[in-house]
Amino acid sequence: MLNGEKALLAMNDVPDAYIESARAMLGYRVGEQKRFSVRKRIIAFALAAALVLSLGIAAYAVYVHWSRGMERKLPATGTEKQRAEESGLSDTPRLSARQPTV
Amino acid sequence: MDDAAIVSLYWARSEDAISQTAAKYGAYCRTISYNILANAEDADECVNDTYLSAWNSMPTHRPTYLAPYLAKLTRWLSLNRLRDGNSLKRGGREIPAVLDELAETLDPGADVEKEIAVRELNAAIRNMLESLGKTERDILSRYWYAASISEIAWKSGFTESKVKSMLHRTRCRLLKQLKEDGLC
Repeated sequence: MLNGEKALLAMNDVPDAYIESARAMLGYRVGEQKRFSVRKRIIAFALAAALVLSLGIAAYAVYVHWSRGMERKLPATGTEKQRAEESGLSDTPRLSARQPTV
Repeated sequence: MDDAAIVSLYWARSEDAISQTAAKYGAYCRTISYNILANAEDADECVNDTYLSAWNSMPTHRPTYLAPYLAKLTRWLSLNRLRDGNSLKRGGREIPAVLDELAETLDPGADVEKEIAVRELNAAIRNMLESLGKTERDILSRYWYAASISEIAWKSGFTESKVKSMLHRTRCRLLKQLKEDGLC
């Protein structure tokens, strides 16, 4: 047997502390692996979906609030709105001048 | 379950010892074996052999820490499996490169007539390890865990060339130690 092979075998019996230190450096884990149950996975997925949905609703509410505020701050006449829509500058179907006014 | 409790199960000849060992150390042992053998089926068989060896050795052994005890068993069994199949030189992913590196340092300098015994080599390696700092000892995990240079570099935060040069220096120190001990 060549000395290289012997060195590989001889290295087996080194102090435990060395093996543990090297294991920690390499990040080889020991211990029972925690696995999420199916029920916990479903709950986590539902929570993530609810979070995304609520963020979407919040963003929409902010947008609507902002656009209505702008409408109050910068009131436009019916003619101005119609011009803006015709030129493609704005798209305000609910506030459109073309809609019949009460 | 802590190690002392698992060891007690072995001593009580309870088969739960195997399942508890597998749950706690199965993945670790499999990593060691796979690094050496590079074959999932062989690695699984070696890990099962490790459990059997642990079962046969406890009693009489009562290891304080199971992780290094099982790691040594797994590594020994995996290397022997490669040797038995005469595939040490073409074995696992890193084993051929590891052997080349060790042979490059040890074999050209060694007197063919004066074969070094494994036990003498082990004593020299232990002496050398004591003289090394923690970082250098950890880098030597290449030769214990058959870890790749890129893996060691990534985990240690050094560059690959730095790891290579540290390994080279450490191998030279081993050769020096062997010469001091009159083994080369």
